[in-house]
Amino acid sequence: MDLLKELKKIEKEAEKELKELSSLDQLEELRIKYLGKKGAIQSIFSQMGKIAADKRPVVGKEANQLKAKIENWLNEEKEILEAEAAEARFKAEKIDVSLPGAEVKAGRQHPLSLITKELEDVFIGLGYTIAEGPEVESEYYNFEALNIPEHHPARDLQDTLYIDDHYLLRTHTSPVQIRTMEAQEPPVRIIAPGRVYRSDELDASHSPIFHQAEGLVIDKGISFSDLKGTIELIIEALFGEDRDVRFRPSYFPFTEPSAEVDVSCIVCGGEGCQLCSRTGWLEIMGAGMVHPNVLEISGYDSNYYSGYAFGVGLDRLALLKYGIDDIRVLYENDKRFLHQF
Amino acid sequence: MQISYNWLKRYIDIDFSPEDLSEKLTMAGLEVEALEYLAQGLDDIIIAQISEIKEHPNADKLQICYVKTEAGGEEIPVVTGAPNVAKGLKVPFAGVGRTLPGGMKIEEVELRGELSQGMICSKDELGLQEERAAGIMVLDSDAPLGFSFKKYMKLDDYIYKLDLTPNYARCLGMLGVAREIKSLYAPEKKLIKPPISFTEDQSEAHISEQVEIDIEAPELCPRYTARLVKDVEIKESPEWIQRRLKAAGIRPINNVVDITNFVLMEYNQPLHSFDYNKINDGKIIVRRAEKGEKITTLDEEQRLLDDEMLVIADPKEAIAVAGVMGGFESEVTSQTTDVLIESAYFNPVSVRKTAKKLAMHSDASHRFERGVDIEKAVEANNRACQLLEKCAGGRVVPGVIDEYPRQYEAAVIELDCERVNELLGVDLQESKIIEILKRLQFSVEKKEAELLVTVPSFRTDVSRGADLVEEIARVYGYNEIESSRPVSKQRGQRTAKQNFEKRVKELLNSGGLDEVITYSLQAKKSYQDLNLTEVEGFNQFVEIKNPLSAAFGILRTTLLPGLIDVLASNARRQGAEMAVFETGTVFRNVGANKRPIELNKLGGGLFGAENNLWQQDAPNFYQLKGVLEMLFEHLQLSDFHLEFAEARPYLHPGRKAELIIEGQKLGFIGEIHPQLAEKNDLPQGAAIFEMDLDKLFALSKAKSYHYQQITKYPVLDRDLAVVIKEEIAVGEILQAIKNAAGEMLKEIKLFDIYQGDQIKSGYKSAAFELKFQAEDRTLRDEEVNERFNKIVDHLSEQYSAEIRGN
Repeated sequence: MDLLKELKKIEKEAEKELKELSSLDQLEELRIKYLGKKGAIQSIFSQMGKIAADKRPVVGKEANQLKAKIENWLNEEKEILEAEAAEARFKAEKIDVSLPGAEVKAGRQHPLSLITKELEDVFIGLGYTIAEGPEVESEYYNFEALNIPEHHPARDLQDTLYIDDHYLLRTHTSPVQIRTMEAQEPPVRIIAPGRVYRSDELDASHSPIFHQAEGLVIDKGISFSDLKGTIELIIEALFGEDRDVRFRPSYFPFTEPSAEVDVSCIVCGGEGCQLCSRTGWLEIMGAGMVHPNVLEISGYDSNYYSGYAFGVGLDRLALLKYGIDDIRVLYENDKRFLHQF
Repeated sequence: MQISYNWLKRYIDIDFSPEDLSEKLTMAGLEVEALEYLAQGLDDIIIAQISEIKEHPNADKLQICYVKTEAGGEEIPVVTGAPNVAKGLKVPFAGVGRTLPGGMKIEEVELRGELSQGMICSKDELGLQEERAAGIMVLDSDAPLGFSFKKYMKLDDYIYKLDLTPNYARCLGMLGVAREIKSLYAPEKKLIKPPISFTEDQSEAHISEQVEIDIEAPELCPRYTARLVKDVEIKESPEWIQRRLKAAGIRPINNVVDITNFVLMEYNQPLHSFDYNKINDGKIIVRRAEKGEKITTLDEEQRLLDDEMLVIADPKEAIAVAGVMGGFESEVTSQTTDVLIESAYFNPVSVRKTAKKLAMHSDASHRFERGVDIEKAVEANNRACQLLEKCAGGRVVPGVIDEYPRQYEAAVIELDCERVNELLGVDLQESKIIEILKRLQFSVEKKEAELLVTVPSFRTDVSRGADLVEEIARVYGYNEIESSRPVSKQRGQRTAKQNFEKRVKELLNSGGLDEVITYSLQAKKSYQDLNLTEVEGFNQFVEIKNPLSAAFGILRTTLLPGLIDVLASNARRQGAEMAVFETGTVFRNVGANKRPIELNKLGGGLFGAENNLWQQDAPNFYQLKGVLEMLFEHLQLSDFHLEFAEARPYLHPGRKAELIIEGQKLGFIGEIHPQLAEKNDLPQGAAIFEMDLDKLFALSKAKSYHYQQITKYPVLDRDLAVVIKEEIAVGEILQAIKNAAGEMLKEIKLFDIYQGDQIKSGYKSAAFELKFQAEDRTLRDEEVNERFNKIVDHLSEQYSAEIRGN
């Protein structure tokens, strides 16, 4: 019996069968067939007793080598087959990526909050703190301390809602100026957003309730040119670099000089359109140097200190910035509106 | 205030185009609200004459007019339905190819078989009146054939509607506007003064022999001038006066009234004309009214006066409310022959108070309130006499009465040029500042380092240095001033409370709630509709004294009505779900003439949640509760629970709770009462909450972040299902487990509630997942089992709970 021949035969057969392999199960069968306890290699070992003693080492060595070889083949083949099987499984797990994602509901910020926060953040960056004041005010804070005496035509500029002989709903955020000056010494640098009230009938551009932000800066050496630079920066922050800004003389009892600030129309850019009433300009805020009377009423030395103040309508700002054509939309809170922001 | 371009050019010969002037006025501070071209769209309209009229063969109501636009010219057929056409009439006409003001182009048409080659226009078609005219516009018979209609009508003019702020009182007259334009834009031009010369009729006795003026209240009337004009003929004013007044928006009445209005528009000096023969004894007394005195004013209303009001009176009675409105009795009528012209200065505050009290705002009171030029009273009066002589055939009585008990004293302001530069951020030479002030007709003297600036009498708005600074900036040009920014020495920031509120809003957003902003003025009726009027606190209404309407009659005492309105209106618009919150001030009345309390509230609500959590059929409630639990957890407010609420009638009687945080009642949560939901168009089961934001801030204030070591020892899980009586709150069991478990229990979660076949009736099963863990070692099974059994024993003792599935 020629075991060496036998081994050669086994090797050939194994090589052939391995080539025809197509599944891991078959691979396992082959492993048993050749390497198992009753496998082909083992049967060679078990026949060792039947051959000459001097040949045994040679056959033993050959048999072990073949065993290692087949083992190697099987492992290589196994790796390939496993990779193929994994590939096939992954293919079968293919999903429709076009199906919609899980619904995650996050709420929205109201556009008025959005614009207020944006404005606040710009001013915080400029060293301002956020000040607040009550919505119900006394005549003193809303008018008198702001240089609007009782029998002055300036009172006609704002139609006031009254509560009784002493209290009214603030018509502007300017009372916060006075409250701030009463509470601290210069330097003052505040921005005061808040709700204000006027006796204006509700229509597309008027609301009896709306929002303003008041700015006040008081220190030694504050100038009109500081005011201009600050406002230009704000407009750039809110409406971008391409806007032109102009200041024109106006009147507010609590500032002198006073200015109305216009920005080149955000729709037509200055050509003239319906939004800007064909003027090319949009009125965006009022501003001025704090009137010396106002400084003095609150106990500041008007010969030493100076300051500027400005007031901007937040609703109007939101309308302009977001292209809303009716102020009432802001207060209707239609979900289809809120979910645009 | 409304002015005409053509009229203005009578006082200053400006070269600016009408559009350019508009820009210049606005930039000078005289804001042009609207610029209107009177002849807008009238270029194509010419004057034609109807030379023949024929019946329309196929229509009863139509006629065929043949018009010509030049003598002997072609006859153009025009089919018209106007009832007032007649042969020979001169009419405004638009031929084929021409355009009407509305933009309509005239085309050749056949109307019921007859050719029509143009249009004879009515006033409304020409844009000259709003309402529909009954027929075509008929022109005077001497209107020149073929001539431009707009030129013939003198419509080639621009009207500026000025929005003048109170400090531009001087520009409430044409001369004032002209002077302003000269100062700012055309210093080289001369002001063209109106003619004021006339002939005094020397056959008449001097006015002082015919009229006596007695000012009893000089503090309210520092100057009163009068002139007398006799034998005036009351009739229509000449066309040019009427045209000017119409351009200014004033309705022509008769020549005398029109002349006083004309001078008012020129000089910004209100005049009043009295029928001289109705003034008893020819004597005028300027005095305070007596309390309870009555007068019938021009508008035939009887007015009740008081002693704060100034009247013009004769010895018998008041004949005018000074500076506000004339009296009916002394009015100039068609019978009037002799007129007394008053030109005076009345105290601004007094006129304002009177006009307000009597609710009579007039062109005169508007100007007196803002201060007129006291020094120009006589000149304005003379101008009126000149016009009365010219346009009413009057004879001017010699002399003028000029009672001037309180002489005008010009204010003198000390101005420091350095301070001017400092305030404006410019570097102007003193000479430049002087030049600017002089251009504005201030007179300037130097006094050491300062300037002494004398204010002209027409500048009633200037009283201190700041006013001059504005004037200097205005002339120098606001837009010429360089921009800079002040250096900030302090750090900008939000306060802790502002940051807190911002964070709360962000957290609620992340919990799926949309932020809403609702009106803080509301209707009392909404509170009635929501059963809120009896609720303590919510019924402390602050009422508005002069509300716009009942809908804005009170200040909100809670955010509820606004929130419910938002939910309801979205539901009405077929929104399937909505989740919102609002932060804002609510107001509580604490007694008359006391400052109302302002509270900062947070409220919210939702409907349309679908997860039927714990099978309670209250998905909205638990969704909202979940959002709040998330909020409080993030705010590190772990000690939070709900306590069933007894009161609160606006909520579902079985689904309402008080929000308790760290032992404090901060607000409530619940479902809207089903009947109220029904009544207010709200989906059933909508949940709502409100709490005090300031209190929430106070509780969260002390909290700060502090890192805790993460345990590396394993977690041991145990599930625990207990059967308890159905009325026992699960929250109570949960708390009991926590108490019995001690520190070893790291986490506990309810994962199931069951009631049904497998549980005896009247009982429910609650299943919890418990996680045990130690900080310092690996827990042994036995330890945990021991603790678990303790929990079980405790529950069975305290709640007769049975362990399910054990």
